[in-house]
Amino acid sequence: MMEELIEKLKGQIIEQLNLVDVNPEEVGPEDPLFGDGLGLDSIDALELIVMLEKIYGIKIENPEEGKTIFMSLKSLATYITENK
Amino acid sequence: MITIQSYCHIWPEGLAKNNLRLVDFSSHSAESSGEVRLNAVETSSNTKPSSHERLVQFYRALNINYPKFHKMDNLSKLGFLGAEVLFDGSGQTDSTSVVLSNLSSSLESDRIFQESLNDIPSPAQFVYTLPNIVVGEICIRHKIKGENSFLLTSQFDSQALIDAILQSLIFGGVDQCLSGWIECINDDFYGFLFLAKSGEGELELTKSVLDTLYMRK
Repeated sequence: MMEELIEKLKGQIIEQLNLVDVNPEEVGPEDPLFGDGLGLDSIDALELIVMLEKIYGIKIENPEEGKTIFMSLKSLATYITENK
Repeated sequence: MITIQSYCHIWPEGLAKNNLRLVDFSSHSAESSGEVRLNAVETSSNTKPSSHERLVQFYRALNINYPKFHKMDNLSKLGFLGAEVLFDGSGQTDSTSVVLSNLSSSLESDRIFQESLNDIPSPAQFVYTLPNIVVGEICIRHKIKGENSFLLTSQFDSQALIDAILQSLIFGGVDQCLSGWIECINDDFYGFLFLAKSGEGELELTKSVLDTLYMRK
């Protein structure tokens, strides 16, 4: 179940953030989304917040939580599962 | 004396630097018209590609590796490609200013963003609702720290560009200026960019030279 969600999220993030040259197979569930991992930036973080609300109906009330939630695909999937 | 060191044209059918066709999407033989065809690109589809698709095809044809390109709006993609061709990995961008211009500002991106307001608006689209964002993208890519400006004019205004270029070269204390016209509207685009520099050269920066070069593609 969790693995399925992680795979789904991977596809959604790649599409939503126009990560055209990213090979999905090279993105691991615990790879960092920001910094050295996928190299996302602050605008991408806002897009991820919008994506969570649009697709999963989850609104992040406390921006401070973002750092933990968006650490990796696994942390994001865990947050979605717990808050859906 | 201010001279034009190099210039490039980008339009849906091709991309040329100093009149040398680097990428060619036209169906006719470039050789037959006396041009050198360095990088002819075969396209399999018969349908006309959108501006976005075409700009990505230019990116691929030029073998550029810069993932952020795909996040840019069309105006930024166009300016980015022109800067790539003119700087050509020279790394000589320390002392550079940027003066770009167009007619339609960022209207294409403004429309896309306006449509997204019906739902939750996209922050990634919002950031491109200003024409000078393309200047920022170019400056980030080439580590340019000189002065910059984006002029909105009703048509290609060579005199306005020359005035702004001189201002940046004389008072801005830079060696060269990346300048030109980049227009993206109604799923069409045209870019004419050039590098102006103090010193000797074959092409002096004058109104008539710029007007002639602008029309040539």
